Amino acid sequence: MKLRLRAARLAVGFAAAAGLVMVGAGPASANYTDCSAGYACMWTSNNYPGSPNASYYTAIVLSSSSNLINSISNNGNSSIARFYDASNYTGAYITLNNPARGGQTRDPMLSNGTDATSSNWSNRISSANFA
Amino acid sequence: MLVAGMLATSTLLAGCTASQATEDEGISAQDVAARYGYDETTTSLSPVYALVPQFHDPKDGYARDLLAAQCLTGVVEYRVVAPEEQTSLIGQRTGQLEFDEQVAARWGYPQLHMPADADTAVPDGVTITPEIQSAMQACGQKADERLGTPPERLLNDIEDAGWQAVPISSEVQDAISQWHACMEPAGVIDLPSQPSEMPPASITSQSQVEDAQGNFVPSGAAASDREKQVAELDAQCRSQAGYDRAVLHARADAELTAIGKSIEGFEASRGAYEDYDKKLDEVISELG
Repeated sequence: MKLRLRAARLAVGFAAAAGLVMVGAGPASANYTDCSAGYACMWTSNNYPGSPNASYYTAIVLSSSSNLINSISNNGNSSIARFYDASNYTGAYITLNNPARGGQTRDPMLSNGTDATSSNWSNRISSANFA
Repeated sequence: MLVAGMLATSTLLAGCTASQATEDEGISAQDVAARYGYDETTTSLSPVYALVPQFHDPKDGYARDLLAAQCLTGVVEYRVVAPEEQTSLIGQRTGQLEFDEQVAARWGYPQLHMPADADTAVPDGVTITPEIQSAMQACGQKADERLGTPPERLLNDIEDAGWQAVPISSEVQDAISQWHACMEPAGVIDLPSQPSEMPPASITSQSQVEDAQGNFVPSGAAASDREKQVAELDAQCRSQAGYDRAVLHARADAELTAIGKSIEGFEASRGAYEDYDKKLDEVISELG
């Protein structure tokens, strides 16, 4: 869990409730397809450039790329992928659904939050798992 | 910049306590608690979870999985597991890993040895081809058309504000100091700065392995006696130091403050969740 400049984000969060903030969506040209079937993947840069910097089949605690992730994709078989701020599946988290569930399955720019939150998630993720 | 951020965050989240609210700050945390009857001494849930029972309800995923299974019939097997049949040590609603003395005694640090969850959705052995992927995406769109999306955005932001208040809480820092002193007998040479970073490398060397990208994944090995010993003391020390309570207090105060600043949006989210919940019930009644 890290301390960040949250005050501005909180204000943005409340503005988002009124529909004033654009929500995340997959870009037209993206390499999220480089995420192997059955895995969830993370990239340190926006827009899934090249091979993922981290990927997992069941769960992962990030080390080399901890607090450096900026785009994520769920290509797993399970129902939902969770991405945590803290290193041991605790603290704040964001989720990506299995595509068959609807909702969001990838996010190209975590600094904009995700479809489900306006909080800045750039460089925050430290662990992740499937549920 | 970090100092400026700390000051700004402190001012926003920690500085707004009971009866200090001005008009610009909205309703005070204490008044929000009184308005909705939130009492952190009688619950382990933070306000967004306690005051909006539908928020992150596992029923949402269950209804969506039911729709997916029906939609994918003839394309690929899609397994649905009802919420009450899930066995994970990670709370389905809160997403938080359970950790207490009982869990520690059985599992050590459970994140390293978690019992396998039910194999939900597409079975693990099935390779999802592009054709299956397309069908799954089409089904997901149908689910969204029927249910809409959960009205969670503001509530997630409020929950996040709560988590951000934890590192700057003096009560949490005091609990961490007590936890450190309590952990000394364990002789952990690389004891981390706070409980949320447990366990350190000296304890996990057999339980997780480094992957090709330099990150760590569970090795599948059972917890060693040393790991269980440290985990049990860790759980005891967290309890003795009042760590979990301090974390909840920090989160609750910040969440209530955030709710007070956006009371109309919060009310709207509560109402929208009641409507959304009815749609979920319809699906579960039809397909469950």
